[in-house]
Amino acid sequence: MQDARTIEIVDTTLRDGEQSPSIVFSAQDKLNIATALDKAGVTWIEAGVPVMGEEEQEAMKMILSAGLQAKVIAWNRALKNDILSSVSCGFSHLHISVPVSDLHIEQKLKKSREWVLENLKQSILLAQSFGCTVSVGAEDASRGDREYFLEVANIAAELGAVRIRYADTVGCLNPLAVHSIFQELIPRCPLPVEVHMHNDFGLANANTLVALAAGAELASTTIGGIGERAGNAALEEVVTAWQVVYGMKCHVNRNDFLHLSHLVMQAGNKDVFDYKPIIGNAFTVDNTNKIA
Amino acid sequence: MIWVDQTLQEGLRVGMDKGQINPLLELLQKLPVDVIDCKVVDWEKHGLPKLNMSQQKHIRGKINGTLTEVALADKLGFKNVIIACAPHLGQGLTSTVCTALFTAQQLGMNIGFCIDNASRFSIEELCFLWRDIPIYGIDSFIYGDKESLLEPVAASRILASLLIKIPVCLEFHGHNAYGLATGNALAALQAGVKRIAAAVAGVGLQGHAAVEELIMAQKRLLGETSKETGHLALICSQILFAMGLTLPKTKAIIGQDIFAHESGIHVDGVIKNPQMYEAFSPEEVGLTRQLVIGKHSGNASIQAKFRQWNICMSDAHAQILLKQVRSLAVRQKMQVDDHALWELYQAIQVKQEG
Repeated sequence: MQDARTIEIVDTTLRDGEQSPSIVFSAQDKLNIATALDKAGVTWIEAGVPVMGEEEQEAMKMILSAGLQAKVIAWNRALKNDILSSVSCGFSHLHISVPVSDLHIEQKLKKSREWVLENLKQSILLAQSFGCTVSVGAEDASRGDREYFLEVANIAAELGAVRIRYADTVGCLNPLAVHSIFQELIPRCPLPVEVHMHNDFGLANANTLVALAAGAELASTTIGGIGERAGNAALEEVVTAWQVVYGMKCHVNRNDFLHLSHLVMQAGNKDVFDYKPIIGNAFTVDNTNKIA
Repeated sequence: MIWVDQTLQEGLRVGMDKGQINPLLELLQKLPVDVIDCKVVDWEKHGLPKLNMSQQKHIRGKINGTLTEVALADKLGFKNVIIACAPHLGQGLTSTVCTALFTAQQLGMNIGFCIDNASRFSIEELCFLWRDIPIYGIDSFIYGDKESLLEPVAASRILASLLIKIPVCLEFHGHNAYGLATGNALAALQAGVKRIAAAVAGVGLQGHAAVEELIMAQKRLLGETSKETGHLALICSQILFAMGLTLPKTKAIIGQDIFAHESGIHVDGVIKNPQMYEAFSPEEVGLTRQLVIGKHSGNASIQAKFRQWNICMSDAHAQILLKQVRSLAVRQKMQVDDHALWELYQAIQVKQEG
């Protein structure tokens, strides 16, 4: 029997979750959600993107001064302005994201792989010059070259980054593919891996769990799975399945999920689908006297 | 054909009346589903009539392994049945279940034999249970994961092994209590299972795999040929509407907003090449792409939006407008619609001219 491994959650409800097209949180909403996540035991909270402007910065400052136990992270592109905005808000944990697929590097940035590495290096050094701890994000990793992902991870590790995020940006992985990718990737990766899966085919949760089982140490999630397009892996599903189906550990209190969901849906003016696992009505009302 | 529908059963369970069931059945037949499952007792409870010839072909009645229910299925004209049971660990099948199987055989029914709680048992224990089963007349074995105990890697391993050991067609019926149903069902498909339970948007008691997710995952992630999917979003939303459910706007594959791009980095990418932030194109499921302007917009989004209106905007101009857009989006706590965007634009024009 395997030892019960403990994973950590990097919740991004306030960043990727808010990027869901119909959702805008107020600064007060953001503070309330961050406080509730902290209370539930989430250790990392990705709070937002300071470079977006004053409104966002105001919310960030409120969260940073709330005295949370959780570490609060700002999301950045590998750009000077992004990093300076985050630093001036008072962040000491910076996530710096770079695209790693050729599709994104060549067509979006119109740059080269080398340029991305150099740019990342400068950005990490800049963040560190302000005493910040850096984590690195590999955007579109699932469609990129695995060796290049490892190259990015190696540079990040050499410079002292604390972990690397493997992002399935368009949600195009399937669980068995994740299993074989991560079995190969994890032993070769010099940094702890955080997985960030999207739900375009309804597989975000399954892909996240399979990656965790294969050795990823952190899961990026949002409450209710809100996020870009069809959303992200849902906090409540990842934590519950990790504990119940896999019999492993994650120190997040499952009793807080309904409250968290209520808070987010109210702030985002959304309803939870009745058949959303854990938090949907079909799962929360008593069905025990009926047979499947 | 692979997908076994569980949507109708949920319709019956939540109390759709007799008049609503037929339209639902018609809609379901527009989906690439092979068999439509329902519980015989629920069919009777709703006062639905004996199955007609065409219904007999594709509707399959699920019954508990008792003689009474076999007789009821026969009376209502079910030719295809599932005889379900949930044995206790360490015990064989009860004689009641065996008698029910035998009687259904005598009546010439096609029988699917289902162990609802199969995921509670080891492969060896399941094979042991098979010793009690008369193979003749049984055309499939349905592996049930009633308590949602499986994860995809285990599902793939177990089902691949059972495919070799069980002498009839293997089916998989998973549930979604922990959000793993689509992942498990896809793993079953990859393992070679030929029939898999699924429901529109994953509805059902304890949930199911979502059929629209499986159809598109099979096509796009496994690269298998599929039937035309251009009306998938429409058909699924009609089905949910018929069931009195509201389709969430961000539901994977079929939600109205899954191709709405707002954040600056995404819009910029999508303008350059939609593949950058889309796993498949909206037309493939009958949806449309939208550029949404709001708090997360960037310069490029604003410029792209105005290009759609044949207005070429400078970077500096877009920057000024963007600031106002973000501030308005935060104030009103929602995206900025076209009308409001146009008003902001005109206000700036006036200021610049004045």
